[in-house]
Amino acid sequence: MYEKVFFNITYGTEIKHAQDPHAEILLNQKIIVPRQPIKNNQQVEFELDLEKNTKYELIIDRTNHDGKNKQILSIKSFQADGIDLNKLLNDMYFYPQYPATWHKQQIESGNKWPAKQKGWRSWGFNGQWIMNFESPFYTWLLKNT
Amino acid sequence: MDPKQKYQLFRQRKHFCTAPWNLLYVGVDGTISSCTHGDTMGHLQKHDITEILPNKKFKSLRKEILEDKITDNCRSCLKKENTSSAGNFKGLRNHYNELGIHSSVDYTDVSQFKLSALDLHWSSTCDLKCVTCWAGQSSSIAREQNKPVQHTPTKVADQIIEFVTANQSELKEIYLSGGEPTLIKYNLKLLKQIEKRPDLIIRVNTNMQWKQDNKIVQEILKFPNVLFTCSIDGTGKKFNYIRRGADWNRTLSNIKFLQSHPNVDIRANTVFFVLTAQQLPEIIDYFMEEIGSVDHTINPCSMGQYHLRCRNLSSEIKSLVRETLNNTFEKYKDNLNIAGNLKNCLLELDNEGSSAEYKEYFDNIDILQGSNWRKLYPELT
Repeated sequence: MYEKVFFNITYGTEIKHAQDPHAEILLNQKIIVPRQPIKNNQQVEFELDLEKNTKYELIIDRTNHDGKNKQILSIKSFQADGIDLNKLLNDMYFYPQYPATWHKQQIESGNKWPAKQKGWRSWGFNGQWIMNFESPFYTWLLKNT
Repeated sequence: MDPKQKYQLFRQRKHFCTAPWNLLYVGVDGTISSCTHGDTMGHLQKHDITEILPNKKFKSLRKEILEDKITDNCRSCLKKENTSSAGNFKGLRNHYNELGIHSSVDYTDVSQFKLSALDLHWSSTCDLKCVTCWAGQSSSIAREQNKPVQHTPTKVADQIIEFVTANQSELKEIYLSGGEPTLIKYNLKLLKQIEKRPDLIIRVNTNMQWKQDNKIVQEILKFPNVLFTCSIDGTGKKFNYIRRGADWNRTLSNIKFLQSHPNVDIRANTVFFVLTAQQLPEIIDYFMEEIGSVDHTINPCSMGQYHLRCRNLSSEIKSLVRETLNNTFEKYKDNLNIAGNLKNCLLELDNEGSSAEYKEYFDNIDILQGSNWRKLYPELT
């Protein structure tokens, strides 16, 4: 392996009459942290082994929202090797899976809900948060922060 | 170098600046400095460029920067960015650090240098005698005052050209200043040998009085990415007065000419001093809104002309200027460069100063060139 980067994510949750949200972390479709229920202030740590000069897609796949009750999953803190990367979250996208019936009603009422939402770090819908980056990770980071 | 180490230097150190590893700054007499604000690091008339770049002075500066110290060399630049900004404006080192991101130099090695940026002032040759300028930067003023003209000797210039040509692979920016860069023949010789790459920007600081068939201008226009900074200290007759020897109509005609080139961006540069203080918002608006300038820089009055600083205006005029500048600040608050520069102007107005020496200075200029500044600026008399 060419480069190892250690990530630490602190999640936040807000729930009313609902179960815990679930999250799974993937790198280029490979599972890095298996799906699990998330509690408020829960920390998830994982290490990425990166190849040289490669494009990557880090995904948090957020599930278990029932489409009705309040259940928010958010990223409170995002760090790589102890470096605060919270600012980077403003440039990343969340791809919501809007509840089908609700989404249809919204469109009929003239409300537009885009397929991707930039800078969303609190997710009230199921969906995927995606960070596209390249290795060397720190060269990419330098160019993008 | 290790990408993580590079990231930490660039993003986690408070005072890191890449200029000593990447910038070649050549003064009007061929001296090498660490940057426009920095100290002289060596004289090309005494030492070869390959001896200066890894010399004791450079190594010591790089070492102190690596230790995150506020060096004597960098103190004034760092002070400016920390005290006189609009809040987010980070000053000159951020400009060089952006260029340094792409450099292959190992910043942990204090003896290394890899050329990313070139700042050439290598002659004071200029056809104008601007009232804010001085003999050290204008050959016309030097001649008028019987002072020596500052000029890099040909042998030294050839050495620089040879070095830059051989080390141009990572070059991202050439900044041509002076003097008037379109009159400095070394620029033509150098530019002819530089590859016309789209990732290389040519920045030109010009008085805009050149003829459109000027060979240096023509060579500059061959580059895909060019930024002309036009020195503008007024409009119409006021421009002609301040920039002694210049013609406002020629400036307008040359702006039109540059606008017809898609590879050229235009920005303006104004000195904030007693004669521009009141017209500044109008000048900024004219260039930003009508000319389509990409930015506007407002420089403090320096070059020894301290009697021209706005602190010397009357309190009545100061409060009028303060009001219009505050409005202009609000208008351009999202443009960090303009906002930061306007903040500096407002800070200048806060200084105490009551020297009326500028009146005598302009009276003397009127005697020299048969003008009448009192007619153009009656409110200042």
